[in-house]
Order: sequence, then structure tokens, then C-alpha cells
Amino acid sequence: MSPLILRTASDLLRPLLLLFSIFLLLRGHQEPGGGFVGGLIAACAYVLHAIAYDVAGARRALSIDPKTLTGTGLAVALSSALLSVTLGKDLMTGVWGKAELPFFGPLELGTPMIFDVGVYLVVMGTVLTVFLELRGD
Amino acid sequence: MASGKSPHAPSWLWVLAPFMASAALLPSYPVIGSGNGLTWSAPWVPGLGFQYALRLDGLSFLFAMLISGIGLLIFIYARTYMAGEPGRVRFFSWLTVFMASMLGLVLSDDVLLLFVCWELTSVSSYFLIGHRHREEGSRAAAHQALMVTGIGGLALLCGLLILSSITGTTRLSEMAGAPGLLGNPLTPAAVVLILAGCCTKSAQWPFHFWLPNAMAAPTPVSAYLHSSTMVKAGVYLALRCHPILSGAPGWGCALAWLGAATALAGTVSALRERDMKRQLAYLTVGALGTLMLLIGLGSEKALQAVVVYLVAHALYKGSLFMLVGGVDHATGTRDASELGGLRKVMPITAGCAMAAAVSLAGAPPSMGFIGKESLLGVVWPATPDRLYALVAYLSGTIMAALALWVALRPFWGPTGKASAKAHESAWSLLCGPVVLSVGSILPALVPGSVEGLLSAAASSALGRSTHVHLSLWHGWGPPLWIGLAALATGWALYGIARRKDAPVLRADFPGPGPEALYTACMKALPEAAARVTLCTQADRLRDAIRTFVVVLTLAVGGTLAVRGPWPALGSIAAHPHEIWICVLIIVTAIAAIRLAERFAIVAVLGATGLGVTMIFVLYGAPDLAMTQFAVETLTVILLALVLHRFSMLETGRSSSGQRAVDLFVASCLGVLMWALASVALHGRQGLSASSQYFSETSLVSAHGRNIVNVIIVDFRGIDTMGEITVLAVAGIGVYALLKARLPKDGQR
Repeated sequence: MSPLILRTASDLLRPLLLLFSIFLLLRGHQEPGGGFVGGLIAACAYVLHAIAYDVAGARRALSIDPKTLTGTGLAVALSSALLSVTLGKDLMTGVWGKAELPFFGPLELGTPMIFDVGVYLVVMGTVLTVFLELRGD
Repeated sequence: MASGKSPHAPSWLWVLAPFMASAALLPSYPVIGSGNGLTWSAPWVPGLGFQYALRLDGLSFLFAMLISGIGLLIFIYARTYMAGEPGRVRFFSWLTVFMASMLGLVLSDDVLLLFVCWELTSVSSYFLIGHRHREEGSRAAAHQALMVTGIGGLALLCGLLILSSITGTTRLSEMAGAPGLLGNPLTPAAVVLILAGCCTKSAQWPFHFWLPNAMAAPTPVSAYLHSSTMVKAGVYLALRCHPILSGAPGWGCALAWLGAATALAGTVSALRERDMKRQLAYLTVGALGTLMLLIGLGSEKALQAVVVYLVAHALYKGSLFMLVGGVDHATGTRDASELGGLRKVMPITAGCAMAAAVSLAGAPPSMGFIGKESLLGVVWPATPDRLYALVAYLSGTIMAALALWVALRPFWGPTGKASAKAHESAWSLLCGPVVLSVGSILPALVPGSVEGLLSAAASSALGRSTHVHLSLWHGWGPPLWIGLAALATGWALYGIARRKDAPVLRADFPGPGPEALYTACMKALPEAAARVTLCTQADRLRDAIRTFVVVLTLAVGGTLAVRGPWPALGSIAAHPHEIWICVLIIVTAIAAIRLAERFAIVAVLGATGLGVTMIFVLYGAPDLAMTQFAVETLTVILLALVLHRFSMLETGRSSSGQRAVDLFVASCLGVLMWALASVALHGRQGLSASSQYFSETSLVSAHGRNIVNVIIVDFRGIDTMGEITVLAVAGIGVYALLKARLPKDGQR
């Protein structure tokens, strides 16, 4: 039996969920959101895909091993923490820079946001590692 | 490892390390010889007063020269000795690490730096003893040595920290004569702890058993670590602490008694052994005991005797170990009774063995003789110490007997059964023993050559200037008679051994020793740990959760009951839709208890969670609500998957008694949560200090308006770093467990 409605919904929802998760990640510092919930929602996108189709399909759609995501996330978080050390400040001191973007106006970027990206990747990677392995093939 | 397959790797490079260490040390001899010290320091942990502080004085210089000089010979020896073995790069790496940390140990002036080096020598010793890690015996011996010296190292750390807190400095050179040290009530504790460190490292009775077992290591390691250098670290530290603690109650007395017991236990045990390496190891234990005995006596003459005896021992014992290794290489056995007549094929080995054995036996003209005469010269004249003279006589007898056994039995007499295919060792295996054997004899004939070096070392240990006078002739007197008597009885004992052609004592003499106790403890420890674990972390998840809930309720509820505030029964203005949400939560929670099918339970629990999420939404915590929503969703999916995959759809009903207990425990937790919520809602007015701080500084210094997220990624960023690491590790752990699990859908 092919769950047609679920598959169609999943195809439509997956990009939306991913977009939403990145939206949450980026606004997290100012408005409700953040890396943790963003990572969970990004994982949901692929969980949905795996339920609608199969695990192999979800792995293909992900196109990267979720364990790699976890490791990359840890590395990103750690390097954001170390950046301040290279500048001679204490570990994890926030380093901020401002950029003027053509359409969006001023944008503030800092190492805590990079750290949040690390959190996002770790959460997404871990949930998917466990889920895809549990679900089997 | 690739190294095993490439015998032509430039292994000469390894020899550079000890060579450069010696070359770097030698030029400072004029400064040291004139009684001064060199110091160098750099900040390490300035807040705690720890420094990379190094200090080179007479004592450090003597040890450093022994370490790098004998190291050089050992590295040359090991190049050939280890030629055919796998893992040579690993071996030489650890040997170099050992040498560096040993040099650090004797050069460091800061107590923490000394401790770190101390532990590094234990760790490198562990890897070197266990070099042939495929052999069960090597692994067990390595483990035992690490445990014994490691436990002693921890005691040492405590002792040194107590000492530095009493004296107010972490520099050893500044501790001597610190006011209030001797009267402080904590000083005896420091003495005991530091002695524990010294005695485990230097294999004093009753911790001596690890040293003979460490002979499982390749011979270069036995010759270097376990006779010449590492086992002398305890002696070094005792000497280093002597100016600081010699006035403390118990220091001298304990060292002297332990040393005497070790000297006897070590030498007597040597008579049980067949393997020449193990015989030499037990004699090393005996010699270390003698050194500790002398340090315990602590007079000027005693400390002079210590440095002479120490140098003599390092020279002849290093040589003998290397020679036994060479014989082992050539004949395949270390049992002297299987050998014989080797002097015809191995003349240089035989000659070196004779020279070193003269020193071991304490016969003239050798450094060993001067060392033994100095020892007897210290213990004989003072009447209360005459008992120690008996110890010196007995250990001297056994050392003489075994010196004859090691130097004569393999090389003289008829050709033994294992001697047939023997050949003389290569020059690289011989240059170390030749140098050390000559070193055992020559300084006794030319005393002026080393007197300056020894005097500087003895002065550092004594804390004031002293001169070591080496002489083969101390005049007629009891020390000479006792020394000659020991040689004579040693000869007689050798005669007995020669007639039996076997160890003089039975292998189990005198019954179970400290090692049996150690083995029993090591066996009991994991069993006790398993029992405790079983009590606190039950096999079944249900029991584990019950333990967790009970502890949580008692700890938090107890604190709340004692410290207050008591929960108030205030009224909350509730809207109808809030009441509906509460009804939903309660109904689904009751349903979760009543339902029998696990899928259904998971589903209604999910509904309970969503109800809680709604409350978060209504009370203005959108962050929490979003996260809770995503977590609830994923939890339901994951739980359902687990239940399906492991075929756990049926629930077994607990007994009614068990259910009553569970109901009670759960109710207690429920009441506690109610109390906490009530206190949180009614007990506090306004923002707490930390909330105030975060809301004020969040935007200003962390560039974010969302306080919750700023706390997570910035204010408490290190916590989050730890949390995501734990999350990642847990994920990998689940993955590994699932991968390791047997068939896909099978039962266990």
C-alpha cells in the first residue's frame, strides 16, 4: 500500500520544515527559536520522509551520514568557542561583527550564532542517527 | 606497526635523545661542583602559585647524569636487542618519554610539576613493561606496577600539597626550614603520604612485589627503569625531602625500619628464584631497602654512604641486567643452572660479569666495596643501630652468594645443555656492560674522579656542605670484619646452591606475602563494585526509574521541608480554556495507567505532553513550547519504533503489591512537583537576581533580545558545549548498541 497522501504531504512539507528550521535557528538570538528547536524540526523533516517512503530514501535525501552531521556540529561549536582564544580573549567570549547587506539592512553576526549552528547540527545529527538506525531498512 | 617490518629505519636517531641530554648537562658541572644550583622558571598556573620551576643542584645533577648517561648506553643496547621485535617505534617512543619525564622529575622544583613527571614515569613504565602486550604475563605485570605506583603517586600528591599548604610555597627548595612546619599537626599526615609515594615507587616492603614481576619487560627496560633509574625515584624524593622533613616525628624511624625490612625481604626472596633477572630484581629491592635505611638514619656519614651506594648499585646492576639479557639472547635461557662453560665462547661477557659481580658482592677493589664499608661504618659505631648491622651482614651475604651464582655459574664448569649454540654478543650489546663494569671498578681505584660529583649530591641531600671521601682502606675494625665475614658466608652459601644446582629456598618460602593480599584485594574490588552497582542501578528499567524517583523526591522534598518556604494554597484565576487543558492532561495521564497496550500508552502520554505544551503557550514561554512540541512528537515516534523493533508490544502486569508501591512513589513525586510549582508561583515576587542580571545584560553585552537563547549559547555556553557533547556521545552509544545487537527483529 502506498500512502499517497502522506508522501505528497511529505514532499511538500520537507522543504518547508527545513526552511522553517533555518528560520528558527537564525532568529533565535532575538526572537523565540534557536539551534536546539531548529535541529529538532530539521530532523522531523527527514523523519517524515522516512515514514512516508523508507529509510534508504531518507538517507538519500539527506545525502550525508547523520553521524557526520553530529561530528561536524561538535567541531563547529568548538571552533566558535576557540575563536576568541586566538584573539587573546577568554574561551567562549562572544566575538561580534556587523555587516551591511544590500536588501536586508544591517546584520549582526557573532560567534554565539555560529555556536548555535553547531547545536543545530548536533541535535539534528543525533536524532537522525538514532531514528534511522532504529527504523532499520 | 610498520616499524617492525623496516629493520633499517634510522634507529640511530633515537640515541640522539640521551646523547643530547648528557651533552646539555655536562657543561653545568663546574657550577654544580662549586656547590651552587641553577634555577629556571616560567609561569604555569599563576593564580595557584604553580610554576614550571626547574632546579639543578648536586643531587639533581647526579641523578640526571645517571639517567642520561646510562640512558645513552641503554639506547645503544636496545637498538640491537629489540632489532627483531615488532613495535620498535612504540618501544623507543616510550623509552624516550620515560627518560624525559625522569629528567623532569629530578629537575623539577615545583611540587606539582614533580608529581606530573612522577606519574609520567609510572605511565611510561606501564607501557614498557607491557610492551609484549600479547602475553598475558606482561599485561598483568604492567597493570600491577601501574596500580601500586599509581596509588602511591596519589598519596604523594596529597602529601606534597599538604606540605606546600603548611609552608606556603610550592617550591621544594624554599620549604626547608620553613617556620611552623615541624610543629604543625598536619605534618605527620604529610610524612606518611610522602613515604607511601616513595615506598611504592622504590619497591619497599610490603609494596615490593611489583618489581620482580616487572621483569616481564624486555631487558633494556629492566636494566634502565627497574634497576638504575625509575625505582630510584623514591630514593631521590626521600633525599630531596630529607632537609625538609628530617626533623619531623617518624620520618627517620619509619624510613629506617621499612628500609631494613625491605633489605632483608628482598635479598631473602632472591634465594627462591631460578630466573637470573628475577634474582637481580630481588637484589635491587634489597639494595633500595638499604638506601632507604641509610636515609632514615640521616646522619652526615649516612647520606655520604647513600650517594656512594646508589651510584655503585646503578652501575653494577645496569651492567648485570644487560649481560643477562645478552646471555638470554645468545642461549635462550636465563636459568643459570642450564648454562655453564660460557667463558670460552663469551669471554668479554664473562669478564664484564665478573667485574660487576665483584661490586655487587661488595668485594675489593670496587665501588660496591666502598659502598658496603660506608654502610657498615654508619650502622656499626652507634649502639642502637647495631641491629641494622645484622641486616647489612645478612643482605651482604646473600648478595655475595648470588653475585657468585650470576658471574660464575653460567661461565665456568662444564658446558651446559643450553650453552651449545652460544656466541659472543655483538659490540652494541657489550659496550654498555663494558662501560658500566669498568665504572664499577675504576672510581674505586681513582677516587678523585668522582668525589666532587658525589660530594655535591650529598651536600644537597644534607642541606649543608659536606665532602665525600672515597677510600678502599678504612682501617682495621668491625666494619671490615663484618664485610669480610659476609663475603665468606656468601661463598659458603654459593657452595650450597652449587651443590643443589637449584634455588636455595623453596619457591613458596615463607608462605603467602603481601602480593597475595594485593591479589585478593584486586579480585574483591570489582565484585564489591558490581554489588554496589546492582543495588543502585537495577537491571530492569522500571526498578532503575523507581530508585531515581525516590532519591529525587527525598533530596528535593527534604530540602524543601527543612529550608522552606512552605507551599501556599493560593487561588489562581483560571480561564475556562485553561481548565479544559488541565482536564485533558489529567484524563490522558489516568488513561496511561489504565491502558494495557503499549502503543496506546505511548500515544496518550504524547497527548499529556502536548497538554503541558499548551500551558507553556498560555503562560508566555514560546521557546519552551516549541521545543517541547518537537520533543514530544519525536519521542512518540521513537518510542513507537523501539516497541515495534524489539517486539515489546505486550505489557506484563506487575503484582498488585508492586503497583501499590509504585502508586505511592509516583504520588509522592506528584505532590512534590505541586509543591514546587506552588512555591514558584506564590513564593517569589519579581525577578530573581540572576533573571535581573540576564535581562539587563543580554542585549547590551550579548547582542540578543531572546534571553533564553542568549543564556544557552552565550552566558552558559560551556554548559551547552558539555550538553551537546553528551548528546552526541549518547547518540553514538545508541547507534553502537543497535549495531551490536543480534538479529534485526530477534529476541535477545
